[in-house]
Amino acid sequence: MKDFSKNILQTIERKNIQPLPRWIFFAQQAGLIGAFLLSVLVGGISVSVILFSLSDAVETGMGRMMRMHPGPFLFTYLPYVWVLVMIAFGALAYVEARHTKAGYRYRMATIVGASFLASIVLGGLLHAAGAGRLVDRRFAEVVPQYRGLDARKMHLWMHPQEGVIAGRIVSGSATTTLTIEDFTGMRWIVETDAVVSRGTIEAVPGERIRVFGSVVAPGVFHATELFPWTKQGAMMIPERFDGRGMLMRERKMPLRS
Amino acid sequence: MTDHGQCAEKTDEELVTLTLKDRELYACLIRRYEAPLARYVWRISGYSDDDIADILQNAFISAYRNLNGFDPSLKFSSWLYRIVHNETISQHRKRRARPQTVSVEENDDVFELLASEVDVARDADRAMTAMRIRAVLDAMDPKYREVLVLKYLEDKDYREISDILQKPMGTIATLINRAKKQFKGKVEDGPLSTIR
Repeated sequence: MKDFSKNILQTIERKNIQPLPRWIFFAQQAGLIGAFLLSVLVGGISVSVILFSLSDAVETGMGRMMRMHPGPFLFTYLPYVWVLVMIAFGALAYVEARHTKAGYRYRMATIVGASFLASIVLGGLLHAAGAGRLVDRRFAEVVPQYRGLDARKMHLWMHPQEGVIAGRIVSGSATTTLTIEDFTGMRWIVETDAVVSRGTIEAVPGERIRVFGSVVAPGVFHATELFPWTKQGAMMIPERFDGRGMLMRERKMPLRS
Repeated sequence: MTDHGQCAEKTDEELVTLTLKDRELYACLIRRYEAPLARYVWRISGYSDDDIADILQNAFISAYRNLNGFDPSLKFSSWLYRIVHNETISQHRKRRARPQTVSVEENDDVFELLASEVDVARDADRAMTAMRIRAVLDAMDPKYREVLVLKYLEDKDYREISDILQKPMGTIATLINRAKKQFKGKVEDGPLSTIR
């Protein structure tokens, strides 16, 4: 290999090989780090939707519902699409981090653990800010194949003979009787004089609620517990709907009893 | 061409910076590393001199093309060993179908050092011939062979091996332990004829 270095330099010269510019390496690293952060963000959004769904389940008599319909309950409240998205982007985050300059120095468990932890913390913050609910609702609006929590929940909460109904308030009072229209369009007189728990119900027209109790006569439901249709987080704007079912942001005055 | 005196007083990192301004100075780095790298390729692959020259030529050209991507937090030697290692693996995949011949040109002392470090039991075993140790190495899983070669024959520390093979240091420690066990097992398994 006496003339080895000479041969290589001649080859470099003959083929006009130049060192790649520094910015290419910089862009490559920046791209990988950006993609990693994006994956963590998507993971965080997934976690926020999962938390939104789970917290909604926890608030509304989870134990009773699980005993009544364990399979549908899990299918309804475990947002498996978002669990899959979270796992997929966690894996993607690992691949991206592993290909950064120093990524190989960390064990797979460290990178995956760190990215999931970051997604969980971020997801918790996003959930507290109401992002999980907004994302779920927005996806349901723009992606025809996506069934948001609302759509999934409707089936679960339409079992009057088993003591649960849900629908929109048409009129009435949270302390005497309410008229509600369930999601099949049927109207119910809900007796609310014996209700022991009202959650954060305000009993305004258009408000969607869930009711535990029993059917006492055709079209008449004796309520023991009332819950809002969706859990109202501290930072969330309470949902209100107009007569056409459109979501409104402004509050309406509560009905007088 | 550059003279040897001009190269000797410069560090690798200084030569990288200078090469980016004057291509001719790359010869300094090539001359500095061609022999150890050729020996390294031979140790992990057993390739012929011609094949090794091809691998090194590709590796040095690749290193030159990527010189701006050299990470100064690494040793330049680790970065270069990594490129050569990857090129050797790449060539190995292309040539997998071709049978390899074991040639023994290594200094016996190096292999005896390996046998001693790996603690192949009895003193009598430590007097194994270079040929036998070479054959044991060739019979090992490549992932174990390469860590033993880097640790005991190339005298690299854990950080350097981690940088060359692009694996965490904890993984390197595990690989070395397992490699030592496999080496010892193959040595104790029986005569050379059963090894390969």
